[in-house]
Amino acid sequence: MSEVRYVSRWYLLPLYTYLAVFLVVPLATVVLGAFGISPFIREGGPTLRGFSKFFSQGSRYLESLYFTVWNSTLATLIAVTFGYLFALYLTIRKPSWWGRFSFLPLIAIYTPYLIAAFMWWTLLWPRGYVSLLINGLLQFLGVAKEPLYLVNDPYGIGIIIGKVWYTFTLTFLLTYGPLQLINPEIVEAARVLGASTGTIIRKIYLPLTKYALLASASIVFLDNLTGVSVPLVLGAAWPQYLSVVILNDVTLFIDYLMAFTSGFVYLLLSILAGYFFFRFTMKAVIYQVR
Amino acid sequence: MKNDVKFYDYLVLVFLALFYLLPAAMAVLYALAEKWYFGTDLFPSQLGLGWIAKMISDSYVQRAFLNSYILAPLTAIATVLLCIPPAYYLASRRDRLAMLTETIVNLTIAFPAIVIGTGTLVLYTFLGLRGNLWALIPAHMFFAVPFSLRSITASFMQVPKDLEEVARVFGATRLQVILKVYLPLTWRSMLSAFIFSMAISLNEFVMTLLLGAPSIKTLTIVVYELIRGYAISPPRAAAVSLFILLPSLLAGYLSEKYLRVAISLAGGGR
Amino acid sequence: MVRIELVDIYKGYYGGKVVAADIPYLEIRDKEFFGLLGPSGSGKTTTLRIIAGLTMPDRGKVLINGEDITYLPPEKRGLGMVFQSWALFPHLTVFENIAFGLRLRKLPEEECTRRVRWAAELLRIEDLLDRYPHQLSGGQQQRVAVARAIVVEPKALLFDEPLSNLDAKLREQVRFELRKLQKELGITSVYVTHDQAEALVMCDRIAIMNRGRIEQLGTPEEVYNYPATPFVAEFMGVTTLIPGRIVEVLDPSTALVRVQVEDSDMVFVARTRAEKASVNTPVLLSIRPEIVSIASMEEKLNVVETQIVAASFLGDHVEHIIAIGNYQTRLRTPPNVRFSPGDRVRVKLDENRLFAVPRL
Repeated sequence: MSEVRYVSRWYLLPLYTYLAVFLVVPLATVVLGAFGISPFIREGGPTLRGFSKFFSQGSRYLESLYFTVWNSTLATLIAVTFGYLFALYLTIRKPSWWGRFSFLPLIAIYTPYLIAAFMWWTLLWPRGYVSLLINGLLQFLGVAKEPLYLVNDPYGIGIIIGKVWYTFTLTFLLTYGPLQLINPEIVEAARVLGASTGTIIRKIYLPLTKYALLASASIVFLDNLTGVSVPLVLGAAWPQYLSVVILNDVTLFIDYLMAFTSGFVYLLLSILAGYFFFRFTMKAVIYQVR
Repeated sequence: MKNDVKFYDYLVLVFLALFYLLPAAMAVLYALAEKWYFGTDLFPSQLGLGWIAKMISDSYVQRAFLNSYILAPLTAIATVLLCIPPAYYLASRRDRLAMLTETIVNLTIAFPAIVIGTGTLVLYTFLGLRGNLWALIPAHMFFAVPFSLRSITASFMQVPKDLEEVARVFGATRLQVILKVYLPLTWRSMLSAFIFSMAISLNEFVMTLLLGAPSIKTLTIVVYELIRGYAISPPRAAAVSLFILLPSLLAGYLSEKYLRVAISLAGGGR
Repeated sequence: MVRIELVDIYKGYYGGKVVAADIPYLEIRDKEFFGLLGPSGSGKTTTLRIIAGLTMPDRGKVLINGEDITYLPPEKRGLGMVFQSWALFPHLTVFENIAFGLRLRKLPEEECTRRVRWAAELLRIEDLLDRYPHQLSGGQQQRVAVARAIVVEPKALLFDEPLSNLDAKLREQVRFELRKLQKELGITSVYVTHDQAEALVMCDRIAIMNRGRIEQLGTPEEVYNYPATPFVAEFMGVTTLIPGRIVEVLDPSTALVRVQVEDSDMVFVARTRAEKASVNTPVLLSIRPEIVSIASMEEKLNVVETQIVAASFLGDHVEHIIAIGNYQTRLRTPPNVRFSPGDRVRVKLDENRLFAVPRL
């Protein structure tokens, strides 16, 4: 290695200092606090009280955890499936309007989360246009007798719609690039050999963009799992996301022990998901270079 | 045979346009709805700039506006500056420490904002930094750093190594090398990182809610208060939303046109 | 038996401003190795893709053995195609690449293996079956691409400049191998290339294309020795074209004519195309270096006084650039014969091989 290449490690100091203060200290606070070690907790001192309360039978924390996980998983599945299908659609059909209208999806990317959540709220509340349309359709088809609540509802439908708006877009942006990199002659070769479009998707596009797809699924899942604004605006009073529960514990109930405990559980969950994201992104990069 | 397939293509376009434009249109509609009897009417009965005018002249909103638009560029500058030295290191040396650093920074995306916010709240309480505008800057930076670092490192990596060696041979110090070789060549990705960081700062909600309370409000907080707070008022919320939304979309449009930010972050754009 | 016909095919872009293909009629015979030759943009690849079904013509029909397949999608045509970039599936081994088409036809495993091995042996790549495309050289990848195309026993084979990414020496070697393979298998083949030497070596008949149209269709000898248009004359080999006019028809049966060079009193005896052998037809005399030789004293026919412009020693011969009036062509002599610039030399143009190309 030439002498020029020897860059001093001190260059990393500012970044690590920042991380030490704004990452390590807060995390340590939460982790210690989860075990009861914090001046913010009355009767402080090492304890597992928080955990036993969190994991006790029928605790609202468990309920919230469960809701958070299944709701964000569902939102992820929907966003990733449709996002990838849309990217495939653009690649295979190459519609003529895509060049002129490719700015449309960027609206979702550049709209702040909270505002997006608010905008969907205006569309989904009982007098909102989308709600009226869908309920009208359902009643017309005779499927539902009573109007369905699409927002602030116990199933988190509103939350899913709000999240999908952004994450569907993210998925297709992240998978469109890798799809474009595939040599079009490979697809033509498969066609001449007898492959139908379905076969080409299964045997060419999917295998060659597998890691990009999984990487975007991971990033979308993380985003869905840990967000606050969307569940806060579009979710019901109950069940709620764990992030909202923590927010309430800090700002309303001033129950720091549970906030720290919930935070700790939340951290473990998201680190797990983050680990997979990292692994898949690395693989996606290596694959592409090949 | 060809014609009805083209029809489906246009159908997709219509659906896509509705999917993205309808929500944005709602913000504008609500903001312009001076009179709207929700219970009975499908559309506002009177349109006008009333709510917008009201919100512009409201001192509470004005404070929040200032806070938002002071924080955003400061956060962006601080983020970019913070990222330059490590980007230089990461682009030059690919050793284990570099890999570790990248991993750690990438992992920060995984952490829930609310958890980081809670921890930082405790820290700030100790330091007496709650309700302090300037103290919000590092908090906002937290979510901008991973993306900026990745983007700037990637562009630093594309600077040919020979240029640095030539500069060094001519007697440049490392600082000069960064200032005179790397920065001029990578200004585009610096600008991208800057704009993206600004967007993240404007967008920021949880940290500001926790750390700025009770005195510091940004536009995002004001919108939230108008949706879920004590005085719920969708038209007011919509009007204030426009103060964030329109600049965000404009910045997005400009940066896509000239810098292709999202596309390159997404790995496409060839 | 596989016969391919193109009838009234037309494909244009930008509202007709660019004509990609305009072919009133083309027939490719059974077991023929047919070449589509021309410069870039001549329409040869478009024509091939229309046969493959990858591009739809604006109008016209594609027939295989009389059956109209114009609107049949490519996956149902039963053809084989080798692409310019070879288009191997990067995520599959060589074996799986070759077996791809077979698997789609749901053949039993043993049959697949048997046929893949057969194709691999034919292309001499049996040892590479477990490798991945990125581990192979260009020449090996090209062979895998060919194996993959033939293993499904296609009705016909289509080649889109498959050798253009190989280095020159390898290209020459592979040309012979491909032709030998085609003759062995007896599969009707259509071969697109821009390299006229390649077409001459490999093809039974060649269609020379220019701007979407076929300028001439014939055997390699025909298109080289008897070009139908100036474009063909210039595209094949090296030539100097001198404008002139037919002043006398000497023998209609062999199309032997006398041509007067424009703005000059030089007159030459040449062959021309039978249908154009009439007085006053404007022509271009196509002088190829191989028909130029030093005239002996007794020679009178097609002898002209020329002046040496330049001379270069090329190892096995000496190449002279000579001036005939205002035009220049080449004279090749054995290495021991060398003239100097300025020298005057009497040369003879072989009257049996001098060709007068019809001019429009």
